[in-house]
Amino acid sequence: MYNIQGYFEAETVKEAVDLLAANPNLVVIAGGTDVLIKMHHGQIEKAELLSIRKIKSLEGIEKLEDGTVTIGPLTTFTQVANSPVIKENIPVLAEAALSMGGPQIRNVATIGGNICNGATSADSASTLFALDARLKLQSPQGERVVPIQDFYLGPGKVDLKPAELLTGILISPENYQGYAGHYIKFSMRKAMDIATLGVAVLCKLKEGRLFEDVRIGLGVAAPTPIRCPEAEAFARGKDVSRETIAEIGKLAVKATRARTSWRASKEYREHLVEELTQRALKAAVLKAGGGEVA
Amino acid sequence: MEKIQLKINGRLYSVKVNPNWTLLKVLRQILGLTGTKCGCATGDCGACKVLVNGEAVKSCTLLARKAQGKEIVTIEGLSRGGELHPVQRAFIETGAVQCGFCTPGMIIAAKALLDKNPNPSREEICEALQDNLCRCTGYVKIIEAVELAAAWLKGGTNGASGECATGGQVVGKGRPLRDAVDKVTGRTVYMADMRLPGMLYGRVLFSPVAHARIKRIDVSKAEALPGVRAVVTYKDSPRVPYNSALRFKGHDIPHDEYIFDDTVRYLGDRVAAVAADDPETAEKALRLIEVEYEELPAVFDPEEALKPEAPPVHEGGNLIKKLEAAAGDVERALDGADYVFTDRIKLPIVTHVALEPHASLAQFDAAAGKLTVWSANQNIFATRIILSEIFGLSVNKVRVIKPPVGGAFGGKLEAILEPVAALLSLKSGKPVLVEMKRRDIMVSTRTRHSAVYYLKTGVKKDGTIVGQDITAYFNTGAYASSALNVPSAMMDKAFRLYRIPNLRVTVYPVYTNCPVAGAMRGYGSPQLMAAREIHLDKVARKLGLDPVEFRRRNLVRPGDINPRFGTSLGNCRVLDCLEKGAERFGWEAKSRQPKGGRFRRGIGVAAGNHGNGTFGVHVDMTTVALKMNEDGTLTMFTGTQDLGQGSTTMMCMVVAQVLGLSPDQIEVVEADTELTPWDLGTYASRGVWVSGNAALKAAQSIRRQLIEVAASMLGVKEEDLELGGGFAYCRHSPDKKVSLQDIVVAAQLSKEGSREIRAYESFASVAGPNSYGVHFAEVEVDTETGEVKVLNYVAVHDVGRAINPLLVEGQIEGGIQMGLGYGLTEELILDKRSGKVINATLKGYKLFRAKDMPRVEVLLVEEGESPGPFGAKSIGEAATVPVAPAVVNAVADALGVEFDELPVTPQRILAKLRRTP
Ligand SMILES: Cc1cc2nc3c(=O)[nH]c(=O)nc-3n(C[C@H](O)[C@H](O)[C@H](O)COP(=O)(O)OP(=O)(O)OC[C@H]3O[C@@H](n4cnc5c(N)ncnc54)[C@H](O)[C@@H]3O)c2cc1C
Ligand code: FES
Ligand code: FES
Repeated sequence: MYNIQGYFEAETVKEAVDLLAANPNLVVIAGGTDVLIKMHHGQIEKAELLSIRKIKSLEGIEKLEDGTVTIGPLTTFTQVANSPVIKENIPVLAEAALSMGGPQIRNVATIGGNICNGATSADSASTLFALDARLKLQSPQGERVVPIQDFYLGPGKVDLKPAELLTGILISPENYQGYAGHYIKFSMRKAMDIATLGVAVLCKLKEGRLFEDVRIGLGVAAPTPIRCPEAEAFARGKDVSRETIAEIGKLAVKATRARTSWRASKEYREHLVEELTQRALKAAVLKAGGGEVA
Repeated sequence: MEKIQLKINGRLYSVKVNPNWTLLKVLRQILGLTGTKCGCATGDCGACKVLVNGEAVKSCTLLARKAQGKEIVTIEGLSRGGELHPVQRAFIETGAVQCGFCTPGMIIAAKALLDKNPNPSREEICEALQDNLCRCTGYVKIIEAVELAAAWLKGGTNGASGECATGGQVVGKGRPLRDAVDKVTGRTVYMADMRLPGMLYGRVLFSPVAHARIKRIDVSKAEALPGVRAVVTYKDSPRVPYNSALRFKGHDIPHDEYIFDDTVRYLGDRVAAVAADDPETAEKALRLIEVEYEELPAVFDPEEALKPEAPPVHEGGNLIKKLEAAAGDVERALDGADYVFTDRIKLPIVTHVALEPHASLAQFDAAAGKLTVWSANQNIFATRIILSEIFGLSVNKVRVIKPPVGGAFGGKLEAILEPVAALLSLKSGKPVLVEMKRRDIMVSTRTRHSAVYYLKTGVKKDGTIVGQDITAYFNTGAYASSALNVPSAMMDKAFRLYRIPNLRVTVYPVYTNCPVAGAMRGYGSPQLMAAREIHLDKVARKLGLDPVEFRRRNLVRPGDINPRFGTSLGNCRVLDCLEKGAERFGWEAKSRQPKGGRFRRGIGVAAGNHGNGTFGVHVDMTTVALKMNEDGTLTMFTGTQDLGQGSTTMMCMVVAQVLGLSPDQIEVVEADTELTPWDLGTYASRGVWVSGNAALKAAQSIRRQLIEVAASMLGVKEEDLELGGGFAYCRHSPDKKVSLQDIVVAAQLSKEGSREIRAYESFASVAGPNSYGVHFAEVEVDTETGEVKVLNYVAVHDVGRAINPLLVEGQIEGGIQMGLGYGLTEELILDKRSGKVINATLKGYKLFRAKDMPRVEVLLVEEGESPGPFGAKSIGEAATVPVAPAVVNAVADALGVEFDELPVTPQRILAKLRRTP
């Protein structure tokens, strides 16, 4: 709530990026749930706001002919959670969306804002990491598409070039078809909490007994969301057993760069990674048609 | 600025707004719809909820311009034409309203839920309230209220009940707060809802470093900003030291604080303040103040701070004063014990989190030389002394007024913003409202003293405690504040719970560069009981004794003698609490449950005690004035500060009982140093014990006068007369009667000695017994993650007599919410190098929410305590004392591990579990 010079409302992507290029002071506002709080704390000083809420092309969820699922950045968490396309094809993303905030925040907060805010705790991020999502970015100079892993640079830092807008989130069919997934958000108190750890696991089974592929996305286990390459490589081709899963849990810890913070100590977070990765994987196996692993 | 249209409560408003203004700001500041509250402005408390197209929405997370074209309903729009909505009525009826600050948001959330789901389960109710915080009620009665409203709505009734107008038994019958209707309709005007013509907005700049000398401070840019009316720093601050915890004129405690000083002593210390035409300009000006700090070494740990090489926070070293209290011969007793057990237990810094943010409004009238301060404050008369001393004004030229307060818990006992607001008003010549943001409140007001306890207990084989030696290091932070009073109060309690003939308590209150510790609900008792009850549980286990049995053997009995003073402990009914609770909780059956598997259950018990006023420590006096009106109604004047806990409701009940009136017939003029008689302050659980007694004494005086006049009117003897139903009547022939209004008018118009029926009575306390409680908790721990779920909770309290059982229960339920946080989740975490509180938000500081609360059962032991009014004694603070140890003992029981640091977070639990296979 500071003196601001202006408020702009773009109706097209082109208008938005041109305005951004013309005025470096502009801060993009989507649902505003992060932006308003930063303003309250004086973190955004001379903010002029550019609302993108009216850009229709940035909303909605679609499945393209080639099977790619595209999500508009303005899609709210409620919309993601309720979308038939998502529920049918990538139910784990709907789970993750439902774990975010309270119902009211989910009604306003957008998935694009969640990503662009750059928090390692973002509830959409670990799942999108596991899904190898790609991001479509538009600037007056043109469009580029980057893997989400490359987009996160550090705490609160993302690879948004000046005058660039996130315009789409893409998930290719090879990254979700045949996979089952599970998301666990662990937080200290049940209600309304930012994650202490977010674990998204996808798995694909062969004949119900072998791991064809396992993907593990973690939030709050490092300054940005991460994947667990060692654990994933180990899993490939192994039989679905308690021992394999235990080892995967152990290896997942290797990818983390947990730091001690007020939310949790490094040791505790590492312990959670080990436990919750196993738990999420067991649940994913079950959903993928494998048996129960005690 | 742009013009937008908002449809609110069925009316179309056209307003000019900045496009980045939230709906909350527009409602409150532009449209004056102040029923919607602001508890954080960051989406974390729910106090700002309004209905937007039927959904409950936090208006601080919504831009006003985005609310255009939608149907907005605020709390003001719920009751039409004076008729309360059933949800509002249910909140009143069930006692779900205490301070009322969360109430509008809660009611809105409940309404949105019931509109969609007329039949909600308890879980669904908790879900709907998950982002609504309440610090007073423990959510217990709020959940009941929603259930009741649902039932009414289904049954097609609105719950309106005819209330009997006069007479009958009042004391002992549950009754909602006298101002509950205002609170459920959003009409209550809290501090931040007040506006004066020409009023400015004040904001305070807080230090970004833990310890430094201010080398240079340049306010010229801030002063040059259009709209800025005053900037104040240490250069403007009177060089008069004070102690914000002063209680009365001449109170001998260290005076080490200035409004602003040239040295900052903790990260969050006051550096400067600004008054401007609007809050935005004031905040902008703060960022234009240039400060150059010369950093000094800092110390954050109380034991470190006592080392000779530690940097002194104030001249003269960091030990404020060693305090000691003892009875018997501790060394000999420990030598002769069969076993001696020792422990070191560490307790965190926690904070009050009253839902209403701190705010003060000051108006200095230069022509009259008079300062008037409105403030959310628990101690107006002491604040008046502090202000008069700082500004060199005579006491009658300072007036302090307390508006309704949205929760305090000790956090508003000390003068923090009042001197700043006064200084800004002095300099600007305008009234100035100073408000704080939640983040600053959590750091720069007051906290509970963190502490390190060393305990040593000697026992006989059969579990009898023969001696105990307790040493504690109390971290008072950067200023003394209550550094002496809190430990002293704590030490006193140690001698009143168990029969320990040889007992010594030693406390080192220590300065550090931490946030300032002060008064907080329980005033030292929660620290003592947390440490000692956890320690004693370990002792019991080591002796192979059941924790209930161990306490049964050692707890004090009614009439026991305090070994320190040789005085009686009064009717201390803690053993009754233990027995009653153990039975209701099913302690024995539960203690036989097997343990194993991933989810483990455990049970815990803890006892606790707290005082009734300050008798024996210093003055403890209150005056109440009563005045009869010509229609038989009554006006009460009291300096007692009701903070939402219902002390004035209680006083009205006491007076009504004596005079045979209904409490509704009493109007209250409250807490204004100019209009109401003196009171020591609302702290030390002295409300019922002292103010209740003062009300009783004044009512008895009125009674005598009424009867005297009635006797002469009726021509009967005074001792034959009784009061009831609005009449004075003859006990033997009730038809012979005269109404109170006739008595009052007759006295007024009497030819021989016309007079007013009125009383002005001081009551000074004559004894200081304790109130007791025993709590039982059952938990379930997830051994894989360390998560704790509190399943069941039974709290039993010895309250002497409950004048208002509804409010007594409410105090206990709220105390449990606060204590569960102390045991399991709440902690202000300081960065070890910078001294910065790193979780100073409601997202980072974990309060128990509705969903986290266990099922709570409250039982009372009502055996009377003399000379409490009608045998009543305190509950407000005692309620929170036994909670943390009860729940921590339950976790320890579930896992078979021992804890030595609070809060027992999942991470600490797992660390223990992995060390102990
Ligand atoms: C009470 C509360 C609870 C919360 N709980 C959670 C939680 O449980 N889990 C969680 O993950 N988060 C939570 N959040 C954080 C927040 O709501 C989410 O990060 C949300 O997804 C942000 O979306 P938004 O649309 O509101 O973003 P905005 O606030 O509008 O924007 C966020 C950032 O992204 C930028 N941005 C937005 N869209 C674009 C775009 N298309 N292109 C380029 N830049 C863009 C903005 O400039 C800004 O920097 C919570 C917030 C609040 C207030
Ligand atoms: S004021 Fe909006 S949630 Fe606290
Ligand atoms: S009544 Fe809920 S915060 Fe006070």
